[in-house]
Amino acid sequence: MRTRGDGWALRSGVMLGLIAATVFLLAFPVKGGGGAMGLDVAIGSMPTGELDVKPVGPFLRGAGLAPGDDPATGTLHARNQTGVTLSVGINVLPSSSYSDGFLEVTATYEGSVILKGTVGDLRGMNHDLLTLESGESADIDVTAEVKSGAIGYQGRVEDVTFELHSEVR
Amino acid sequence: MEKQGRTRKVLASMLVLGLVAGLATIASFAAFSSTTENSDNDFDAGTVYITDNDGGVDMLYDLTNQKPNDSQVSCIKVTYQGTLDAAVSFYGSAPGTFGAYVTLTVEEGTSDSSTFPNCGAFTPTATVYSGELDEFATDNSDFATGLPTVDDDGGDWVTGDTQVYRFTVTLQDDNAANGESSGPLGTDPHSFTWEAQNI
Repeated sequence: MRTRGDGWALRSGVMLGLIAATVFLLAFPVKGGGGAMGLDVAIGSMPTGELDVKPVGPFLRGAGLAPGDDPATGTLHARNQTGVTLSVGINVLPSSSYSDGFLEVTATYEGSVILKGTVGDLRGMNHDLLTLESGESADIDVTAEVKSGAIGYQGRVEDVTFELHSEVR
Repeated sequence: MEKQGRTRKVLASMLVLGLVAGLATIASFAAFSSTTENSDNDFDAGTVYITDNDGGVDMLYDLTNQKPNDSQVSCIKVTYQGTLDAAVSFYGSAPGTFGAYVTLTVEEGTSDSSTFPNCGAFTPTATVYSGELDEFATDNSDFATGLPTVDDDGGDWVTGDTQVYRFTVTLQDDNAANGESSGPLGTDPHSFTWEAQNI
């Protein structure tokens, strides 16, 4: 048989518990993480028989990229080591299709954009981007960024291979 | 009054029975459950792929009107692009009998500035072959009999490895190489091959 005193005791206990919990939460708040979760991206290259490509492996790295961030940048050096003039293309090979819609890549040679789009648009062979005479070299500047309005990029990792291809002109 | 009390009791009994039945039903369907999944399975083959810098159109040498002790020096750069580690064998096709009058030396080494068929600043690291051209092809005619090669680090060939080969061909000072009235003598068109096989 509950008495009136028991009811007061119960209500007082609940109130004290709530006050104690509130004080505890305010005194020891869980701090928010300082690092932004973004897209980690690396673009790498491979040597070919016709083209001396440097560096071999990753030449562009971006960590935690988010829309509006400065693009990650890198430069790929290619030299025509054949005795003939070559038309050079780039086979864009992302490691997955996840970033197809929001990872934007731009390649520039001598101030002109030779490749631009999302990795989904650029996936596969992109022919005739530049011409190199025998022994001629090219520095190809590459940028990578996350498209504005992108969703689902947080915490993702994307490795893209730029496989240079050449054809005799 | 008594009737009302009986009705209450009946309703209370029905409520208790309903609760018991409900609990029994929940208990009947309640069970621990656990699954594990292994997803995203994929099976891709590796590649064995070796290339060179001749552009597919040029030869290391194409000589005419040579005199005794004339030499030609040329370089070719071989690149391994396969994903599987590989052994690479070096061999050639028969140049014909005139190959007995041509000395062939093949060295491996490094050159950052070679542009086929020029050698640039070539630094030899080893001699792969030195002897008569025809004997090279006789002794090294396929992968099994070919000369084993190493990458520029001296090991098996892995993705991205390269090696530059310097070829020196010299016409021997032997009058048997003089065609005289029958006209110039020469080799048959012949080739050099680097064959990669995964290890």
